[in-house]
Amino acid sequence: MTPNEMPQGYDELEALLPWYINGTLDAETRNRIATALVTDARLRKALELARDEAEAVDDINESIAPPAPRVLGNIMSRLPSVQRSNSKFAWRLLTERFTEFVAGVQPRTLVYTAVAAALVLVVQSGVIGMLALQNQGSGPELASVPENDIATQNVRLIVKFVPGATVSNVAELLDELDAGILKGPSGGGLFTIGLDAPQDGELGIDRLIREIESKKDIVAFVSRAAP
Amino acid sequence: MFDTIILNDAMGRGLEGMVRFIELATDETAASRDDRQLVDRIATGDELAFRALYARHNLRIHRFIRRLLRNPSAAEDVLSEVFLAAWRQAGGYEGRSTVNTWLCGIARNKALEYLRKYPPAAEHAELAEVADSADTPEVATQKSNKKALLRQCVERLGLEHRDVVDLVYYHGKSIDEVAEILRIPLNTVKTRMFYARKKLSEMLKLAGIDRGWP
Repeated sequence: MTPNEMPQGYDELEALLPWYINGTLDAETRNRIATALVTDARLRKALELARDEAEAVDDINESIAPPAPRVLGNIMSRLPSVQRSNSKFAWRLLTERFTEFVAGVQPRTLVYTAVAAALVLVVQSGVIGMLALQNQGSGPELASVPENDIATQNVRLIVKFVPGATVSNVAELLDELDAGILKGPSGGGLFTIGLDAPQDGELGIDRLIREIESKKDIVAFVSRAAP
Repeated sequence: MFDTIILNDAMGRGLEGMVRFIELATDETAASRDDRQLVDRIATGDELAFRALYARHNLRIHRFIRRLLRNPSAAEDVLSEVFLAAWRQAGGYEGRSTVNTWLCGIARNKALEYLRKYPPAAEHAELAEVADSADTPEVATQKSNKKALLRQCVERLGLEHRDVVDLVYYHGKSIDEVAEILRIPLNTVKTRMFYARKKLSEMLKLAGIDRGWP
């Protein structure tokens, strides 16, 4: 949105007053507003209005009672059956440990950078396999998933990742889809992934497959898994 | 400060559990850093860390959802879904935003999913309009109170205005954070807030109070 497309009556400093009140503006903008407030009576009036609004919103929210204690009990009872996605966490741990390793080596050791890079490529396939193993480990839990969870985790797809896809690419795609690797790699590098069923049924699954197919830099092949 | 049930549960886990719970949940000075540590622990399956995260955030996230849905029992159901999603997705949290902002984003998505699945009954909207025009003596008295009237107007804002004013005024979110939660560009955050405030002025004007803005 360009300045010309801003709504009628819009004034940048006035528009920023709500964030001036909640204290999240950067120092430069905050000082600009503070300076303008000294001389601009209209801006001071606008600030009063914004403060009234903030007080009203605060009153409304504070009047809402806390959730019932049984909510936590309900959540805790369902935790064991929840399928978890640890893809990015595994990748972050890997990169953090690698960074620590690099930070600890002597400068002349850095000639081995190429070797380390090659190692990362090798580890990539291992991490994807590890993600699959983690999810395989949760297999028995699936047997005890409550009915409502089964209803939202019943789409299984066969996916093959392109050879150049990084672990980070794959992890991001899985998180974007809220999916987890259930099996793989099997012959030909195929993985089975599980994800939430779209609310619009078959149409939604077709749309999901097209969406995954469009990630050509990550995915070489995707198809429904046999039931 | 923390729900009795959570505390009792921690006590039930013995002294070690209690000490660990207090470490996780009451260190206010390092709240933000610890939130991230909690999420990392949750990613490894630490249920006590999960309880501490719930203790820290359930109240505000619940209020955010309640305001979006305007339905107390549905808000508690959606709150459960939000924290279950947090448990499921903890491994994907990268720390690019605060944990509270991450939870707000999940909460809004879950609330919108609920609204798509169970659209609010039309009579709810009509009820709001009727209540507005049919002033009982009580309402008329309230209207003499500008603050009470402003609260009524805030309550009646539409969904897309309600969430932005709540995120800014109550949850203290920056422009960047609101953009992340609502998944809209930064300038749209500013104009949406502008329109929300303009709507409040229009509603107040209809009720006889001219704020002289915008």
